[in-house]
Amino acid sequence: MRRKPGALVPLELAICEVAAKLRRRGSGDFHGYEIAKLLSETADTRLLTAYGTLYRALGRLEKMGLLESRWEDADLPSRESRPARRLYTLTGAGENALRETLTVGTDKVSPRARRRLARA
Amino acid sequence: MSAAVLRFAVALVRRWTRLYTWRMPADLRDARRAEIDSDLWEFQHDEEADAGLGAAALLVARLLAGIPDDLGWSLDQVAVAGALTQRSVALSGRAAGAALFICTSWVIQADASRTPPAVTNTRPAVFDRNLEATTMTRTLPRLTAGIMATVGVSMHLAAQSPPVPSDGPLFAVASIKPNPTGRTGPTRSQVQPGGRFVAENIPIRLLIGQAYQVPSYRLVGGPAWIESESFDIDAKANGELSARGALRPLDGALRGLLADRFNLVVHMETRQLPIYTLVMARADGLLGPNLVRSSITDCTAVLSAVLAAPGGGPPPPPEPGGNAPPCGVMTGNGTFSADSRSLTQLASVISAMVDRRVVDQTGLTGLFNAHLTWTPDQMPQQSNPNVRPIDPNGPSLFTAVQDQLGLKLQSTTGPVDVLVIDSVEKPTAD
Repeated sequence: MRRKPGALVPLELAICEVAAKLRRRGSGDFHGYEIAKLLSETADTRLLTAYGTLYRALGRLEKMGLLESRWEDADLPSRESRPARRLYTLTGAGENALRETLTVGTDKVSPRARRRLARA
Repeated sequence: MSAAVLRFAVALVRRWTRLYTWRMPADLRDARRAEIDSDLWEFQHDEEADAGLGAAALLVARLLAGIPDDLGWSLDQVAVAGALTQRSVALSGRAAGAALFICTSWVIQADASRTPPAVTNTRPAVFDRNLEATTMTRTLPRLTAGIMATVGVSMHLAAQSPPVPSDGPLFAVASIKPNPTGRTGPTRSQVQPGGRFVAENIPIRLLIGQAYQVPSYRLVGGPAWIESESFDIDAKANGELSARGALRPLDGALRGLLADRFNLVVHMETRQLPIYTLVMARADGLLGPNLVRSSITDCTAVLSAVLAAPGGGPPPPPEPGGNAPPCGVMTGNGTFSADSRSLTQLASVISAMVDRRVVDQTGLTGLFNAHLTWTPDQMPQQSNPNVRPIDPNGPSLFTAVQDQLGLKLQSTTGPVDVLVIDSVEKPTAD
């Protein structure tokens, strides 16, 4: 999908929306699989966002300053015998960008993104 | 069976991740692999997720649907590292797409031509598990082969294709002759109006560094003659070769010349090499006398004002050894002056002086003015009467950084993106 200057593509918008929802619930951090699952629930589908598509979008959002990420401390994963999670958080800039995108009206948002937002 | 297929699908995702992150910078590569590992683990331990064949199919679907983005991401990283021109990035993308299309067509055709297994019962097999298992186990190896072929083609192109000049001008004619004086004489190179490039007594290693915009410490490999022998080059391009700006037509034209006449083949890779970290010298964080915080906070505004001033355009360059212009850097033999530069930018300047990567770890943010004076290891042969003479008994660069800036260069090892010279030959006759 070709990006319009200054605009978020539907997946990026959906990630920010779900991240904002998580933050409102008091759990600001999320990892890749968690967001993939939440996105699929929002879109009411069994399919999870493809690995390449998801992590490339997360990388783009981090580069844009809308998300920030950190690797969790090594203690917890080693206690639970699992790989460390990379935890993402929506930044203030991310919240502002989301608010601005939603303020301009959903007429400028693609139908697919509108459906996601309506379910969120 | 279903557990085995799931393990196969997990291994497939891991194998693919290893392939497309191959030759990536170590930090990016490790982060992506760790993130995919974490995702796979979470999926396998998610009680709400599908199990067995459904889970395997879901994993493979996530893998396949993301391949274009995986390739796009890896090409983005390679392009950022400067290994490829825009044209070869596009070429790699098209080749990968074509290979994926061919492999997918092959898989579909192979599946369609196979006789379906006989259904022994009469109940309506809307979704027969045995049929699904048979199809999955027969199709997955073919899919794997398809993915491997796609990856192989794209990785080969990304890593090995000789960089092709971008759409800018190319040298239409070029005279290249060995310089008989060897490396004793001075080296000169100049871009002239009309797309002419003239270089005297230039070693090819220097020309490669210029064409790929990499400093000497990031250029590895190649035979000894690329440094010990030098050449005179007189070339004329089919367009103007402005050497200004971020996109330099000269670089593309030189890459074309090196590929055509010297059969140069290079690639980028990350190696663990000696580097320096720039840290605070004092535990109390006190800065040195020659490093002060700048009153300027926005260099973009300053430079815009300079360009917009009457008679606009950048000011003439100051004398070597003098003070740096606003938001600029001035270096000379044994002196260095910076105005309103970040510590990351200062580290980059120091990197050129010590011929190693220097990583800023001071934690200092904002812009600073800096002035440094030291005695170089190699004193210049000809002294410029317009420049302040160098004190032969002055401090070394390392001592000067510590005493004058309050910073310290610490030797360590770290990842360095290097341009590897795979092969280069002495030039063909004119």
